[in-house]
Amino acid sequence: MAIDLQLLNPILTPGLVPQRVVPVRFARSATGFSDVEAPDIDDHGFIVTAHGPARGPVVGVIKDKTIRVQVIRDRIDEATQLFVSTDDASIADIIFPEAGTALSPNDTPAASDGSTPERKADCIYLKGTSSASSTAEVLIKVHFGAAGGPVVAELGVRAYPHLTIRVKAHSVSINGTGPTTTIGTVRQIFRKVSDVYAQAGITFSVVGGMQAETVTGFARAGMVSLSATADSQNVELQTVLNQNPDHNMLNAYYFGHYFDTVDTSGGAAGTPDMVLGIAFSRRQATANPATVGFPGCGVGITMRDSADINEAAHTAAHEIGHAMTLEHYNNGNGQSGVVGDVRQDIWAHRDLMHNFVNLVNSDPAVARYKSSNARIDVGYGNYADGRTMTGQLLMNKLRAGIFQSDQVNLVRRAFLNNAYKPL
Amino acid sequence: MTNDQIIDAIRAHDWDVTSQGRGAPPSFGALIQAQLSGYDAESRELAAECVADWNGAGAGSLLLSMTADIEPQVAAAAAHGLGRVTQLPPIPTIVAEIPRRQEPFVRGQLYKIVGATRNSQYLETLRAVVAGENSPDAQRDARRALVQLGGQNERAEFRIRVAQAKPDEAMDLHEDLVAIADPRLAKATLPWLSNGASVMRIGSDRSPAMARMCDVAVWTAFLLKIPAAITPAHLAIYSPKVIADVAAALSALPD
Repeated sequence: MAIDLQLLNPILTPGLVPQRVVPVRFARSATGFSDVEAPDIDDHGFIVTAHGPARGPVVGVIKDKTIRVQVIRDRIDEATQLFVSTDDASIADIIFPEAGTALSPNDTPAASDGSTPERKADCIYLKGTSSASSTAEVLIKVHFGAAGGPVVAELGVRAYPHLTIRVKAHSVSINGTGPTTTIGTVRQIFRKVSDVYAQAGITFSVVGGMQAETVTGFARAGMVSLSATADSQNVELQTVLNQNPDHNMLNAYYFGHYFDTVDTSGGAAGTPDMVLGIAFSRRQATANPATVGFPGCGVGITMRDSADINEAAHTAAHEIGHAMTLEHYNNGNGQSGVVGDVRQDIWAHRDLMHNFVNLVNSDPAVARYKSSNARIDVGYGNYADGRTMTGQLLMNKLRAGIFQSDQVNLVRRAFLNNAYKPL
Repeated sequence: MTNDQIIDAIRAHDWDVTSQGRGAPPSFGALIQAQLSGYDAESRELAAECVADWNGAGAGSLLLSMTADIEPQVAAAAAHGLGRVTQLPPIPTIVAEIPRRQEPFVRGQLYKIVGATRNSQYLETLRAVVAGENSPDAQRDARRALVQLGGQNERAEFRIRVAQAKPDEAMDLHEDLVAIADPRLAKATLPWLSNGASVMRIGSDRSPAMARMCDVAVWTAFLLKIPAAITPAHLAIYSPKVIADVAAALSALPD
């Protein structure tokens, strides 16, 4: 198919306003909570220094698993035929569309004999095929008009060897009052956490039942009280984290409530349940050793009861990020309003390590950049009470200027380095 | 537990068995080695933990071979275990194996094990291997090892890297400085003391207090036993006075 191009010299045409035309782009092919088959993609700009070689977005896939990525025809008509190729089928192979077949702008129904499943419109189905024991990268290309036609878009795919985090759940009774969270709920939570971390090649496996722990002498029954003391030094919180940790697993401690004695919005004594979860990695533990009257900072996550499984799972996934050495997205930029971070805010809202679990358009003083629909709703659905969920993307492109921009690489390295296991 | 009971527990993915490896008889290593090919990934990972706890004759060699496992989770467990055993395989053997390992993290751990010997006779051999290292993460571990082995060029480069560190490099370099354990290198953190950029959380989502570059420099100086007026008990947000005190102490160090 011929395309007429007119080339203009910008020096000889001073009135020329350059425009970057993006005929085709890629997007997450699902809405709502993370879908293991439709991961989000890291589409931070085009310039990368490592981890993700594509001049475009990058997506992660686990070895032997199939994912789909949506192709968005931004400046190309539906009638235009688009073909897809992989630079190396031994790293990630294209399952659909089949070789020599164009992307279909309409859904393709499942075969009547069940031999092939339904395929969604304009979606590329990719399978991680790498047999390497380390992460492998490959480019997927979208061609215009024919299988060998010009490339109009590139998608980087990182194929990850599978990693498993074993989880030991603890049910903590505080002054005789235990949590309502059961082992069944914990298993539900971690199935969803696995959906979130599939983009990094990591799944979670809850081992055994819930181990009963008993602590006494706390200020409030069923509650861990938070104070002006740093949480890494909070005796009640760290006492919980030091209850019989399993040294080969991620330890997840469940109890009834947090009680924040600093936040007085709920009354002069403080506010219950302003916090959903708190986590610490080995780095924090190493930096906060035991002293007289202080048990030392533990490693793992602490969670309070939540009746909303999505809220509990999103929070657990976020806290696990902290236990794996991640800080908030770009150190809180995109939310704080104190840095020139307007450019960062949508990515911040899409990111699992955003400062908050939900997005609201409320007080401009604290929610400075949450005033447009795109900023309030990033496609991850709502909690049971209607609040809009923050995104669950983990970035995988290393970009100068963004703190911990290669989150997936950091999480995987932290995993291999046992960052989430007790000292 | 008998050898057979441990073997059964490993096959059944019973993680409580790890502490039992410690008392296993001398034949344990050979028995595990014979079982490995029939184990799934989780059992191989568990076996690596048991062998490291067992720490008997041949544990080091067995773990080194297990660092070649196709599953990175198993290979990493073996590499961690190798760092714990008291009888390492010959260091030249470890160095020779490094380029054969696919997973950068595993190569990094092997570099660290070689570096921890602090034996300069391995410097040139390791340098030759490091020259072919293409992973940025493993290169960092390798450079630390070369400093520990006495590489003067690497030491000079390390000082520059510390002095020019970005916030998200600070904790890695802090860990390198503590591992190298040479107080004079702490002087390279002087620029950190005037840097208030956030590095690592010491609070939580509720209280997002972050340790800054300057705080990490103070904590590093404390761990390296740099004499200063105040000794902190933990990493915290330190006062300007504490930071100034550490700056003076670091400035007084020889280059």
